[in-house]
Amino acid sequence: MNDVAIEASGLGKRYGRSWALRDCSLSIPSGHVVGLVGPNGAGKTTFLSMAVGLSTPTTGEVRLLGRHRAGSPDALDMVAFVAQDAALYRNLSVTDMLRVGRSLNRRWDERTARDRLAELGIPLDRKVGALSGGQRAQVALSLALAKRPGLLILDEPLAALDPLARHEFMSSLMAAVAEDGVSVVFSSHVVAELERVCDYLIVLQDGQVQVSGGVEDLTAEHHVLVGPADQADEVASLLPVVRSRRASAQAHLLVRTSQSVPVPPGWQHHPVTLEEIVLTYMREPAAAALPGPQAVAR
Amino acid sequence: MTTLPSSALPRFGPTWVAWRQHRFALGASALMLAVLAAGLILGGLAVRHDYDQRGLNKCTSFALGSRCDQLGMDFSNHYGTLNLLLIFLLMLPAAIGAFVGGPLVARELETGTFRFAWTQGAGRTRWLVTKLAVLAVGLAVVSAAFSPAYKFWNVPFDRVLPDSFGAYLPFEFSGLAFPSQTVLGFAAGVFMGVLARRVLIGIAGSFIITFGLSMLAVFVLRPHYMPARTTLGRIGHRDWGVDTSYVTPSGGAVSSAESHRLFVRFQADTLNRPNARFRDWMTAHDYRIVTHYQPAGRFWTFQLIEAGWMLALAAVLVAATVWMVRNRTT
Repeated sequence: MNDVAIEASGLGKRYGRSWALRDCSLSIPSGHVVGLVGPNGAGKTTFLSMAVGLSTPTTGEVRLLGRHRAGSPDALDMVAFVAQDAALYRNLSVTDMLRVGRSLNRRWDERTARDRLAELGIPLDRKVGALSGGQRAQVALSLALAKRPGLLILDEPLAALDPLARHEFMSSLMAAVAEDGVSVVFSSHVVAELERVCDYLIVLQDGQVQVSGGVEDLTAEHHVLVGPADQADEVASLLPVVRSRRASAQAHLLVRTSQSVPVPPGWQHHPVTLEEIVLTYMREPAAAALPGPQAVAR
Repeated sequence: MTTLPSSALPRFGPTWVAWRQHRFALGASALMLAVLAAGLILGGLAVRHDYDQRGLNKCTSFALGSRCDQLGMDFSNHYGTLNLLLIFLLMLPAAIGAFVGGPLVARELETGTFRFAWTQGAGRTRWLVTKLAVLAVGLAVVSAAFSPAYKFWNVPFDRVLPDSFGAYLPFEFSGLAFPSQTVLGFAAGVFMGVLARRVLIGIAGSFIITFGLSMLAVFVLRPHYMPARTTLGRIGHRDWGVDTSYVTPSGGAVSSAESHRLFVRFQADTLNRPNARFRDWMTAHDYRIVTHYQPAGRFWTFQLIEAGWMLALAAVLVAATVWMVRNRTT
């Protein structure tokens, strides 16, 4: 297996005069389930469109699975894409949709796809447009996995689903990852479920990578210190603070450091959840948590 | 059915996809043409019955002033309005082309399904070229199959009053013109759909363009595909008279300035004779009428010229469409 799933260097995309994504360089290791998060308009869909070859970069380039240029024939063979709202042909039956997939791909695992759909109880003779949103998403996922991709990219797969369907969809995805070892990159603006699902996280903000790293590293490196507000400036000057929040008496500091944090007297140390970290960075567009340059310039 | 690493796409895979997605549009076009063809054939049978009833089947010649000539004139006049209405058949290539071609890619762009189609292993170029090929061939076959129905309808009328080879409906339905126009309409439909990224604009825009081009071909360009010949005598039944003009007594062409001068003289000469005709006056002064015509033997040359430029234009539109789809930025 290649050790890099997606590598972007100097990637930019301009629509008219505004940049949807600018000077984005990142390296996503393979063998992970990568969550790409960020507020609406941060450039998630733009980035993924370029990664799957649907749109061409204005500057820079994307390479997939170590060497294949995004959109090249090899990349199209080895990368599967589930678009937002499961962009399938609604007037076709599930069976026909499977045949469309089989007809347009060099690699195709029909049996596994049919087994998955049977297990989920999705009627094959039903028109795709007559399925529920959750079922449609499952069909799209089955079609993508039937390609036996090395890399599976999903654009907002959860956005249109109700909580139950979300849960089922993510369970299916996790099961597939466990079986096939496929690398997964998915975008989401739903932050709540990330920790359960992904083990690598990228936060995009205004077309720039703001945070990039393994979930375990991120949660281990971030700490919350809570203490008296009047000491906050003093404490903050000694530690790399990402964000400080102050109520009348109490200060709340999010600190990022790989060393163990010296807890000042009178202060309390709390562990942080991934959701807290993501939300904090999204509120502080100027703060960044990126791996050192050696990880990007491979 | 499980096919794992394989180096090629399934045989006829993309072709099946094109067929599955567009069989309705192609089938509906075929059905519409079949209904029209049935109408023309049933109508043609009724016309033949009437033709026999009038005794026209016993006529061997329609010499001017003969009884058969009179019968033939009555017959032609009786169906004159109906034949005039059949001019709407000239709209068919534009209508079918727009209906099948307009939504071909534009619908995928509108509904977002291109995100599925263009990320499959076959790639978008193969996907598009297959669709274009399958449907262009399908439409050419369907439209070529329709042509004999019009010919069947037209036989009795053509016998009574032979059409010149360039007469519009017989010309469209006797060879390559109708299928070529339909393929051009289809290419224009796909092109406009991709350009506008909207199904409706693709359909409407390409209908207007193709219908305009058809009208241009029929009424403006077609008579001039080759330099016309000129004769003082009569032209044959199938020859296509495209113009008439006068020649001077010495045999030279009359320029438009001279023609104007002659007309002024004619008006001065005939001030007190309101029924005088310019033509008679010209003949009296030894000016003669010549006919410019395209000889009947040029029929297939004309068909090839028309099919040639229409298919060349269709090829340009297809190339532009493929370029746009390949380089389209989303």
